[in-house]
Amino acid sequence: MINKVRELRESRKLTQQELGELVGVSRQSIAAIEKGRFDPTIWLAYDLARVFGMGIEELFDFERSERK
Amino acid sequence: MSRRLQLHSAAALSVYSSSMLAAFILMHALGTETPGFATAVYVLIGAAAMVLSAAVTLLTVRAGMYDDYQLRCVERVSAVTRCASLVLTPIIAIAAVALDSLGFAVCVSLLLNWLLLFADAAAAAVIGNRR
Repeated sequence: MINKVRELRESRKLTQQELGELVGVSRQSIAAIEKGRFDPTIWLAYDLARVFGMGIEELFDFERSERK
Repeated sequence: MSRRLQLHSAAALSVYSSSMLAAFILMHALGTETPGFATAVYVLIGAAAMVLSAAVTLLTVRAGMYDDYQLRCVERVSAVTRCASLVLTPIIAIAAVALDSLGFAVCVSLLLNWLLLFADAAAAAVIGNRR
């Protein structure tokens, strides 16, 4: 799914590892989400959105993403 | 039983049972009714491989090492392992019949399936520990 995770993570100078620790998942999961290879669960999406201080729909672009 | 435990148990059982089935069909086809020393060794090593796989599974599940993405990776590895086992076991059985050698079938099946089981368990452990 198209998302802003990478740009927001980099703007906050967080590594994938650090972001993973903040939301309780592995570095690989963050990498896969950033590349759009893995759609997170609704709870993980919620946790990520909270870390960046925004709503899920702002973080993940549902309109431009392909439904899997 | 948790989904993770089911995953590994199913993979281990699938590999082991399909190879055992092939071995016994082969023995029957060759008219060998009594399991020999090679089969006994095969069963023992197969059982040891299952115990190893189960131990790795229990350790990783207990430590809560997988998240959803990692679990998906493990599922893929297990699926490939099971497919490889299902495809290769009959090929080995046919080769053994063609070569008229039960020993060949037992030894190659043993090595192959043990390696597949080991690869499955190792991949699960590596993916889990990377977190």
